Amino acid sequence: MKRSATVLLSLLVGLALFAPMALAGDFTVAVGAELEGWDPHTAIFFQANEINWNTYDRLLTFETIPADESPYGVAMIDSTKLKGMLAESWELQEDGKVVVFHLREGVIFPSGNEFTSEDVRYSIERKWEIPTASRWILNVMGLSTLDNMVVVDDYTIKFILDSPNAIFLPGWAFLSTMSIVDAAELKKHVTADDPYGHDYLNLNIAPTGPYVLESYVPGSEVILKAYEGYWDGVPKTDRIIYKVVPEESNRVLLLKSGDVDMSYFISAEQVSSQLMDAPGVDVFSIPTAGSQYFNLQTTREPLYNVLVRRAIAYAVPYDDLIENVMYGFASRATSPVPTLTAYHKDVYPYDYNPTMARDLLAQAGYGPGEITLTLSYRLDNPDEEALAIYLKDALEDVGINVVIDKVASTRFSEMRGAQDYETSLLFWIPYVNNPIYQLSYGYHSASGCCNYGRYSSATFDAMLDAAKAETDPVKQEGLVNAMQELIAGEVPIILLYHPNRQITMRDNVEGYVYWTNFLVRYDAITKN
Amino acid sequence: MRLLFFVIRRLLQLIPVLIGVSIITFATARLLPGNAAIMAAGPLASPEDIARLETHMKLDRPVWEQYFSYVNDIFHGDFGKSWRTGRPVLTELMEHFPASFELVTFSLFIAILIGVPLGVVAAIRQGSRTDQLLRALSVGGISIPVFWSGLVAIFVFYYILKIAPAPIGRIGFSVRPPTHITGFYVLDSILTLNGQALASSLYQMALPSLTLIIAMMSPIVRITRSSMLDVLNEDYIRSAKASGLKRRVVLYRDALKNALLPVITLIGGYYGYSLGGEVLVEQIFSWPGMGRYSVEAIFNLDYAPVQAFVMLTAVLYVAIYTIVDVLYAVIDPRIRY
Repeated sequence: MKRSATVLLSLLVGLALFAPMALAGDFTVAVGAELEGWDPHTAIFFQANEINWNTYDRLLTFETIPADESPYGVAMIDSTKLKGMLAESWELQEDGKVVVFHLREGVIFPSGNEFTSEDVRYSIERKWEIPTASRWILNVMGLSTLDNMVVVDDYTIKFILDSPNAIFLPGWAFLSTMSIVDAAELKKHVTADDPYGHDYLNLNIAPTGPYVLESYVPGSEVILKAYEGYWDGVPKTDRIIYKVVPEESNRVLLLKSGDVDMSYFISAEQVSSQLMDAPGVDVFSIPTAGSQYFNLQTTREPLYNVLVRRAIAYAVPYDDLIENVMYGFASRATSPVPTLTAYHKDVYPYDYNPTMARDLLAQAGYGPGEITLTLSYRLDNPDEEALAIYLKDALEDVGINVVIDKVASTRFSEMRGAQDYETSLLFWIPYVNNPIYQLSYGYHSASGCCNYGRYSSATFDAMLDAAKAETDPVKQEGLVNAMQELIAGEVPIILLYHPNRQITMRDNVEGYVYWTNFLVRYDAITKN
Repeated sequence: MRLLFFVIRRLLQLIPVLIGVSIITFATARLLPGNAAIMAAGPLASPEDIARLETHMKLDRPVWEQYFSYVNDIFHGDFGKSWRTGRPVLTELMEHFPASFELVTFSLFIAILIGVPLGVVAAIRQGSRTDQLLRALSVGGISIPVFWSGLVAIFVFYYILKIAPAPIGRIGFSVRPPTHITGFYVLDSILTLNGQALASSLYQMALPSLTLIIAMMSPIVRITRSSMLDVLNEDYIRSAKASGLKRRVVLYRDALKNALLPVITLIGGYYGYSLGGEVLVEQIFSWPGMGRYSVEAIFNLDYAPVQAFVMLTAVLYVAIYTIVDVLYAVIDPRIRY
């Protein structure tokens, strides 16, 4: 009797003390996916990368363009201006083949350990040696062997590249996978079975950044707490609360009611119908360097024939797609290098012109109905579903039959790896906002990742390799322009549009800085 | 005593069941389209990275060798790791299981508490307007899809009326979960006298369990009703009434007890299914349960969690049906094992 009375009493007290809102210094984010798999050198999921983005620092970052100078109403990074983070300064030697980082002294991590070059060396070694880490990124950045990383002293570390590499320095700033971990702290948790502490780091953080892990409820939430001793000043937000809310309509309701401060990955349709005019909610629609691709398999007939590819490029109703599939939240792609990227040039000559399309097909020797193409896309993507329907209609209008092939995403990944489809839809966003990186991934014949049409041109490869090594910016720009024009003529991939990214948050949020990789750093964010 | 031996025999049946289930799951998971190593390596991996990963994940070995390696690991307590999170599968399942168990058990309990009496009432008043109303409601409850009723409930009670909590899972925004003893938030809050956690976890459970109760109650009402009707028409009921026994006694001691047998069977099956199968409710209410966990694993070709989940479900089903059979023996003295 006494026991149940106590329970009842504490229940009543609990109800009274019950605070449904988060505390004042808290910033709440509703996310759609799970938050696990934190080892920064192997993490592949967006949410895990964002947790790393706030708990680990990198060597470099970018300067910020303030909101009032930004064309989109929200502050963003200036990807042409690198800024030191854990590296205080850097220099290039031997015409760009050698990069020396001078590391910041006196940085104390939350563990109490001091930052030294060993933290950098250990982080890169982990990336190289752990089986699930992508060593390839280091190769793309120009590091072909670990021996080319040389520790000079406690605060100086040197990288010897195969050849000057335009992606090397921006990679340190853009990529969460280039995070620096607290080596001394991590080494305490290393075992014989797990020589780099990968298992440990998947579930824990060895922080070097402005936030540390306060609590974690699996499948439900992660709470990060500000580290008062952060070298760049006390973070403005004291706690970041990530809540997992898988249902998109719920994330929209939470944002509208003010119970969360920010949410992302909300579909264009929901943003357009629910959030654009909602009181208390700010929506920024920002062009991205991402592209919606319509890939063509260039190694087989009929797509082997460039006239056929150009015909298809003329058959696509570009403006319709932007209005009806993306609700206006997209812009025309005018080059294989996105509009927001350096050296972009308007080279894409194709516009919606079905007559031209039919003419080109006739020139190629195909009459109406003689070509049938399979269009593959992932079945869990509603945007691509709508796109497929539009494209099927448009192509049939010019005499090309289309067979729709909806594929489970697991099978799609496999097909993508084997490059085994005739035409497909794919959204790709480059992690690094650099034209050479993007052209290399999309069109170089040796590209492992994103050359979905198996496009292969010796001319293009030669130009790209030259551009990568070119240190004179004028010559480099010339090469990049030439490559864009070549691709525009060859059109192995049809560029449907560049989707915008919709940033949705409560209107009292300040200090948000837009990164082209969409990750959010919270140490400068506050609520009014 | 005989009952005890019966239970032990039943539990021993678990062994062949688990062997069969594990072989089937193992084989079918690997027959699914797609390559787990490609998924795990991520979009930027090179063919060399993928090959390295395949060796690491033992995917390049023959299937039977992978299976025996898997069984061997199980005997050492290792159910494998999820490649998405890098965490041991057993740990993750044990984290997600209490969430499903608590919600489903709570909802089913209330559904029985309300549904059975309503079914009895409908049977007694067969043909009356009460009966017609109850039948219509239960058809409605069965027909309404759970994802619809859940989302509507959130929209109406949380967003418009603001009397329900945000659908963010088991506990409110700034409330810490209670100290972990069983993993059941309500029970743990009571055991640790944590009033705030108790209030918050009950409050958070209100809407999802309301959705589940509506869905679960409806078939229970119908089956109780039809089972009661069958029993009420039996000769022994007529004899009991003719002998002058009080109506209530006849009803509850004789009729209901006999009517309960098919009801218990239904509830048992439903319980086993719901523990791992209420994926939609878990998705809509951000409930970190077992159903959602295993579906995520399947979509990502994460074999280890899927295999462990299926085996756990098999264990649960065997346990539940054993309890159902024991209850049969308790209720019906004619049944002897």
